[in-house]
Amino acid sequence: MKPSLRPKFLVFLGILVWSLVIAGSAAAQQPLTIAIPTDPDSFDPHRSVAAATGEIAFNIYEGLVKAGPDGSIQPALSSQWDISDDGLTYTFQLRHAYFHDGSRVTSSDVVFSLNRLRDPDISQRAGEYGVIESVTGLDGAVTIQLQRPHGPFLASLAEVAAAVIPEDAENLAQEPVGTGPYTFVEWRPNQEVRLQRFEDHWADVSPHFSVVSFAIVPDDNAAILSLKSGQIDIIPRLDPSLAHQVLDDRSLQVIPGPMNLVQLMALNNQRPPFDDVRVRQALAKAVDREELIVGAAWGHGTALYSGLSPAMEVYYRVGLEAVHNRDLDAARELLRQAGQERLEFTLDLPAPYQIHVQTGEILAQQLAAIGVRVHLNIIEWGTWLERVYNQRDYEATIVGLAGRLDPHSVLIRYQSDSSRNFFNFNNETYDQLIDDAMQATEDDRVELYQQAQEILAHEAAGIFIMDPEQLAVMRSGLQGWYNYPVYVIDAASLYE
Amino acid sequence: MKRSWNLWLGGFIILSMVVLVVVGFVYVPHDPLHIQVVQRLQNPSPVHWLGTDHMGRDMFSRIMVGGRVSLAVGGTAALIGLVVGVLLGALAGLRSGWWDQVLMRVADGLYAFPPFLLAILAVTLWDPSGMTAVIAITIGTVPAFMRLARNNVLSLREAPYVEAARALGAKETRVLFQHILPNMMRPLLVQASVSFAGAVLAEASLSYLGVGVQPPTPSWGRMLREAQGFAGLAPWVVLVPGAAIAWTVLGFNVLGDGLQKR
Amino acid sequence: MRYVITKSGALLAAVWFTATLTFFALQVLPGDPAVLILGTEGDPAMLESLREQLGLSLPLGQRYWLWLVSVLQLDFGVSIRYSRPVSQLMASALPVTLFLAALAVTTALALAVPLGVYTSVGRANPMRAAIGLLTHLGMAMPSFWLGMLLIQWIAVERGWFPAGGFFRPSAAGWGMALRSLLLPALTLAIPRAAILTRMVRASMKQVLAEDYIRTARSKGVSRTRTYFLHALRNAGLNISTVAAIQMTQLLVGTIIVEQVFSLPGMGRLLLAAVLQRDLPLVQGLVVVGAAMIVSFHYVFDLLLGWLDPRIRFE
Repeated sequence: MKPSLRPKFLVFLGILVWSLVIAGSAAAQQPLTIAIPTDPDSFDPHRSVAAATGEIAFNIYEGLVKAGPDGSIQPALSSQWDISDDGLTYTFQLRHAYFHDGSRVTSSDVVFSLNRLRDPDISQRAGEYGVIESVTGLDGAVTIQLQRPHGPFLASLAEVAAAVIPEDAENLAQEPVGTGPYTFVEWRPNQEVRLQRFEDHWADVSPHFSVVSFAIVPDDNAAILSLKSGQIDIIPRLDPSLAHQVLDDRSLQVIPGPMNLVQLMALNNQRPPFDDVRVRQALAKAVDREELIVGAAWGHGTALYSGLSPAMEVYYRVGLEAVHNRDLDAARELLRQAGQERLEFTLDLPAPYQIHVQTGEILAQQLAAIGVRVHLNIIEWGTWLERVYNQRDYEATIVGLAGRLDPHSVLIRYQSDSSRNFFNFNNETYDQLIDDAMQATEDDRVELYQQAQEILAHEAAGIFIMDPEQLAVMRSGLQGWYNYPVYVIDAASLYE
Repeated sequence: MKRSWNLWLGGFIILSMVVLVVVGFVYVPHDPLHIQVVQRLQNPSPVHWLGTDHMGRDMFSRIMVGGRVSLAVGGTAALIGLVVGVLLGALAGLRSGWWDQVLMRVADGLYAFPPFLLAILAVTLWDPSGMTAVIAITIGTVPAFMRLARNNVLSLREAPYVEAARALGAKETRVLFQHILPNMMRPLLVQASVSFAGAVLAEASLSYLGVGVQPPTPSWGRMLREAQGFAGLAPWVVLVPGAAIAWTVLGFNVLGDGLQKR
Repeated sequence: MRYVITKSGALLAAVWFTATLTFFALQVLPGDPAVLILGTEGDPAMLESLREQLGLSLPLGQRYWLWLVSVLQLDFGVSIRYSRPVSQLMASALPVTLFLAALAVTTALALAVPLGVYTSVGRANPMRAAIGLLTHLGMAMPSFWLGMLLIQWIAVERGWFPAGGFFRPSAAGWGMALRSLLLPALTLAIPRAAILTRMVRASMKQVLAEDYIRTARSKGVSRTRTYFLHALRNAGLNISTVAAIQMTQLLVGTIIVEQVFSLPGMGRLLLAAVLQRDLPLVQGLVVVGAAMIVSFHYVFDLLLGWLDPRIRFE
């Protein structure tokens, strides 16, 4: 052998040995594989905005508090907290906890994180935390001063965005360092994100699975096939229209729960004829939600009559189904009064969401019964976001709006000057209710939000359809799965 | 007898599909658009000859109506591809030099541009409709005709009888239309038949990716896309549209074969 | 020499043209990466700051110039969606696609050459007729349909192969990697094999009718030697023409097949990038893809001119 070849040969040998070692160790660990539809965007909690990131980051990062499976606020890095009587001062006691890089969590890390979170030059979510007046670090505690009382504040601290990061962190986007039960190992776009158990987590019980892999599988059908043939263990959110493929399979279990998603036919309230409340009400009276739930979600959904899902237990206003009972004659009469007997409109449907497309197809047929002609227009998601959501250039569309821990962020969408009010809904009483609720005590908030839901139903701000069930499908034998009312996946609670 | 066997079979297959589609304009057993959720995914029966889909719509009627899209898109794309491709290819072959270079590089560029990328662009720039699919597919069929025409022109123009015609003072266009084109008619017809088949396949692929015709209009590719999740539960919803596509494509391929052998 | 220079110039021009077309076509699309990242949680203030961050607020011409300059330095920039270098993303996706394409080409040739030779020699018999019919069927089936059927009946119901996804050789071993690509490769190969079989047969028949073959046979050269050495080599021109066109279609075909089998290759990356309006990534993929295909045709043209002097450029 020529001498010059030797280094290459050694490198080759090294790679060979290395790959064998990797292969060997991978076989020994048996990672828990969870299918998710899209890649995360960035692991910097203050810059990330994609829902897909939150799902994974929930396991890596923690804030002072975190969401529980029932939507409650649970202690995280803070073991207990006090809220002053005027609702302006929050004091959090810090726990003895460590970051993934081994350093201790101090109050100055928390101050740094919260200041970074509300810095508009860095943070995407700065606007939502604008109510913070100041953050002060004490010995083993942190005090947050608000500008004015803000009911949803504690819930907003449970968001993944409010994560606590080490003060000296760099390149978080690709190498996240948090305090959560899992540490980040690697992210291969279009393939997987791999996490490993964090042995120094503050919790007494450490997670059962030492390695968790989030496999990126964009197509639900492909995910089901992989689940059945054993390459993945869990599909956290199965499209309900595909549920029939897994329901009778004994090697799999399906755990249903409300998704806290409001699926609705949004109507552009400013564009004629939908600026006429009678036209909106007529459509509301013509809809057969049961058929839509059976047809588009294979029966896995809960009918909605206003803008909040029953998953928001306390705040949900019960009994609104009677506001617009299905009554085709009444619907025709309303259209006649509005002079819209020959109503025609275009319904934009976002292509990647089968459930919305199918809902639209069935809905079009239902509305034909009162003489309304619906033109279906399936558009790509990017086009939908730009034209329908951001420019509000549409007549009607079907979409699902994801809920949060607090009803505020869901209901504020219908406030007339909200930048997310793509319905162009405009109602003064409603605006006032939402403003009042922000400053009110907890009991009053419940009452105010219930009134707000009544307005949405009566005014038919949109045609509320259903909250599809969240169907978590996994191989039988896995236990400890929780369906959260927010968009996260809790890998730490799983065991077998 | 033997030589026309393919021609007859191909013709028969195409005819059977065309008859099915044409009858669909006058009569369909059920409304292909009518959704009946309770009737979904029924087995083939005397009422629904090919069963029903996931929305309870009659599969046989949908196949009849869906065929319009496939045949129209395929036919238009192949025809335009033929005319444009031959003109450009002949130009490249006759002019050589710069023209040849530029045109053939454009053809290569078109080859390199994935048709579905074109389709997505087209759908977003224009209204999503069958038209956009036609445009994308047509652009995809042109390069093949261009290359074929160019290579044929290149070898034919040095054929003795073409040299002779030119020596007698015939003009380039006259040489092209009188001497060269007739002699490459057969390979072009074969290519047209193959392109038709290819266009039907391409339309199905685009519809499968969701950038073809829009609902409620059924198309075979779209039917497959929608049926994908039900392959295990109701195999026919996947088998039937695929078989319809394969049958049509088979017809044109066999016809092309027959043309070649004649 | 001059020919090679002009040809290379034309080559670069073709790649530049394609890339520029893509750049501007994507600018016209509604929606930008910022809109897509924010989804239904966005508001105008957030959009503005995110656009600023992503460098989307520069004027179009300036962005095009910056992009062109960096591409000339082989720097494709950073993907907006994945916030990491485009070259790194392509480096992880390219091997999957190439592995898949190589496997598909090998399978197609391994099927087509023996079948084509077999059907071209000797008399018609039921076996040869059946092969003829199968090639017709193979060409007629849409590849995604074939893929769906293979997944359902071979992967799901029998469990012989994984139903989708790619297993990296470094993590799962070469055996598993191969297994995860076999069905997709077969899906890609079957239609190509069908076309190639017919091409091999047609070219072989043409060649076998020539005088020198008869001469060779009459001189006592063995049957196998005649078919495979003399005839097949001379049929090579036609076969390679078709094979070259097939190669391009195969690369485009990977887009759909990678989608059906959820493989992390170039095609799926491209589809995701277009849908996410991730311009740097789309442009990087298009430039690399176009360069690959155009240079492939370039080499092929040279080869063709060498094989058949009539087609040679002046």
